[in-house]
Amino acid sequence: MDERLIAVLQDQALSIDLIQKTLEQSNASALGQTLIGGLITTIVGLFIANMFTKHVEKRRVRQNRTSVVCKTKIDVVKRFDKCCFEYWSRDFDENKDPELERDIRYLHGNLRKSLDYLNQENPAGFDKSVVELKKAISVLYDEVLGNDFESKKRRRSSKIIRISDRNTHILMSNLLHYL
Amino acid sequence: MAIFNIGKDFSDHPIGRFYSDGNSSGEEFREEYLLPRVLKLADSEKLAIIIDEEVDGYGSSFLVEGFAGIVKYGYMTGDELLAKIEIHFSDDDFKFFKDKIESYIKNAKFDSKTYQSTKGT
Repeated sequence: MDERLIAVLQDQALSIDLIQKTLEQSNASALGQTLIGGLITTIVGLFIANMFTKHVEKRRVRQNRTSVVCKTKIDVVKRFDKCCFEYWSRDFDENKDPELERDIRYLHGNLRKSLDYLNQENPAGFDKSVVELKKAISVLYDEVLGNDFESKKRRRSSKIIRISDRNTHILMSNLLHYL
Repeated sequence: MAIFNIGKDFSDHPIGRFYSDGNSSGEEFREEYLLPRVLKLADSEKLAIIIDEEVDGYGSSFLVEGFAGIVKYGYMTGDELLAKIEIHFSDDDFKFFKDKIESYIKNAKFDSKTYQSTKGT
């Protein structure tokens, strides 16, 4: 509760007290009851309005934050797709590239964490998209970071490039949902 | 309950499927670390496996070979293995790997392949 509201409530309480004392002296109990009822209604109204304003503001801040995070994640998806294409479109024996492997692992980890974020931020609001994101991230893990990803011998794989391409589109469309 | 901390007792960089892929592979993990520990357990005993200490993450080939390989090569069924192990983590990101391990074990076909070691190949 903010200070302004507390001050209003205190003023109202003093007014009620004063009116009660005045009424006791003048024996005008019917009028007094009406006045007290009106004041109580005003206090409750102010309290509800304040709570509602705070709720709306909190929701707006959360949506803005989610939107910023998702914009960043869209860039991560683009980089991930680019790395996957580069990695799986060449033979491994001659062109071993540990840095590229590391990047792919890192970028996939980054995408996994975006799921945790979305779940924590709004567990009830984005069910369908979170489920689709989760599924796409899981498929990418099995296909792109599986197979011969860590083996010493690997041949280029158009199949994995296609899987990556299809699932990165799913990731993008679901992340765009939050913007 | 017996405890097996992958990062401390095995490697902080588990990677690859077979011995032939280099050190700390899934095959090495299964044959020399996980399987002996699981087979040593008493009937009602469980092995607590800590997956997130000193480890950044796992590749799918490591997890498939390391865990599901026990089922695939017929050492025990998926249900038997799942009843013997408990995966532990404190970093939320590792829930993904826990789910993957359990899913690989459940989906592995019991005794569907004959094991041939790649050690020294």
